[in-house]
Amino acid sequence: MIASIKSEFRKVLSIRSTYVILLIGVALNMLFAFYVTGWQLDKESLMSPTFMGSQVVSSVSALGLFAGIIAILLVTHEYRYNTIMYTLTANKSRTQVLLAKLVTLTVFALIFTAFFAILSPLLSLLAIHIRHLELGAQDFDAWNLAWRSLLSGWTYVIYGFVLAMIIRVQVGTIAALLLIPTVEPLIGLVLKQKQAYLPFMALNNLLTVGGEGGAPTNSLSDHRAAAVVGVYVVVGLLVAWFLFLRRDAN
Amino acid sequence: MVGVLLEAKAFHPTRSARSHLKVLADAGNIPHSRVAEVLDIVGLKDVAKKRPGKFSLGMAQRLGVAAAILGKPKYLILDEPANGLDPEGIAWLRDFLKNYADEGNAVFVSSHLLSEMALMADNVVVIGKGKLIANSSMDVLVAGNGNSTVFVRSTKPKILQAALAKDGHVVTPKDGGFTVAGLKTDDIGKLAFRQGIAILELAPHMASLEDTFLELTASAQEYQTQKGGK
Repeated sequence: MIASIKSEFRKVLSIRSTYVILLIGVALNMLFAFYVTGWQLDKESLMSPTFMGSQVVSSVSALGLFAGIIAILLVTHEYRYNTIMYTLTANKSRTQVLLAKLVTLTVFALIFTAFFAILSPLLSLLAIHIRHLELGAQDFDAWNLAWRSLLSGWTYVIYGFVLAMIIRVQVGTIAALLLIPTVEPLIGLVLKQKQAYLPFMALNNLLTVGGEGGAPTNSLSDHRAAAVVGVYVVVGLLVAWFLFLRRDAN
Repeated sequence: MVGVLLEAKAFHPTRSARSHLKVLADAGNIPHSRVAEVLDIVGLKDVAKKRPGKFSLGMAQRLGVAAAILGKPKYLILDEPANGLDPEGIAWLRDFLKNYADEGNAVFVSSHLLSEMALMADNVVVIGKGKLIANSSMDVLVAGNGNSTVFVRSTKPKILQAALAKDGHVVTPKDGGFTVAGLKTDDIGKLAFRQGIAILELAPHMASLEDTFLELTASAQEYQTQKGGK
């Protein structure tokens, strides 16, 4: 199991795509956190007590999808380049292989989310400092924001992982990860109040309710949003596990 | 442990050759020092840091062989390992596999390059339409082929031909002598001695592995062409 985890970590860290996605994340932060927010906002906006919290929430919700794409690549590359045959023969237990990927992606998701959750407000502060402006007194619960951010970042990764395990085709899986949150508001037109139970709506709810980004309309309570996300994650992982055990490798 | 090469290009194109092998080494609890060793063995030491996406098929085959031998397996299974290799690469592969087998390991090679297999293999298994057709040593398999003949030149060819024909052997005149099918050189020599005939030339012409294979699998071929392309 430990050997499989080591191997999975090396897989994530030894391909170009991981670093390209990280660089895109940094570039987007430079653009939005540093330039659009820190450099362009007027003095009044900087007085908002939730300014920093909003920065973290925006960064996590936007870059969570990027972390999800890295999870997708870890799985779909195996099938695309047929390295899955090595993975499945090095460890005889498919359950252990799945767990190794899950552990690797969990650690990666937490580091990735923490990095961008810290980088984004820091870049905004840097821009504000360069402009010789003052930030208003901030009012946010750091621990509350931290667990919501980390849990959201992890959930994005697990959503990507589950989709990849089900679809297995790289382009199709990335398209699904990007399309589902786009399509959910349209489905919401039909579901109305119940749209908050959709997977990405519930995730967004978890990140913002009681956090610093402002609660969305039709929001669920903290516990209910966490429970909805938890159900999607658990059911998704069970489906992924079942399919991984039953399906041929190619 | 079993080492396998089923597909040459089973690697991520942007993961360096060394990293690819390190991923496999990690998964198999194999020390990283072995990665450098196998890269050296297959001749990819100089391109270890390069991305294999731009490797030629021959280089990809070498990387596949490196992956297969990473764990020093007792059994090695290779599918068409000579595909895409240049002549020097094929010679290297032949020597490498022979040496690997000589070290007490078993090497299974699946290939359609029969001339290459004839030089490389000690034992042959022929499979047609999913059924075992032959399983024997290379020498026995080829010697047992009906196309193996012995070319004979003697001082009294007509008498010798008659004696051979009398025993039921097929004799065919050829190039100032004749060929005999289904007999060994020893038997023909003894027969000539008994007849008091001097032998000028006695040369065995073994059927090739390809001839043998085609003869063995004639009834098991899935797609047959008409002779002459008609």
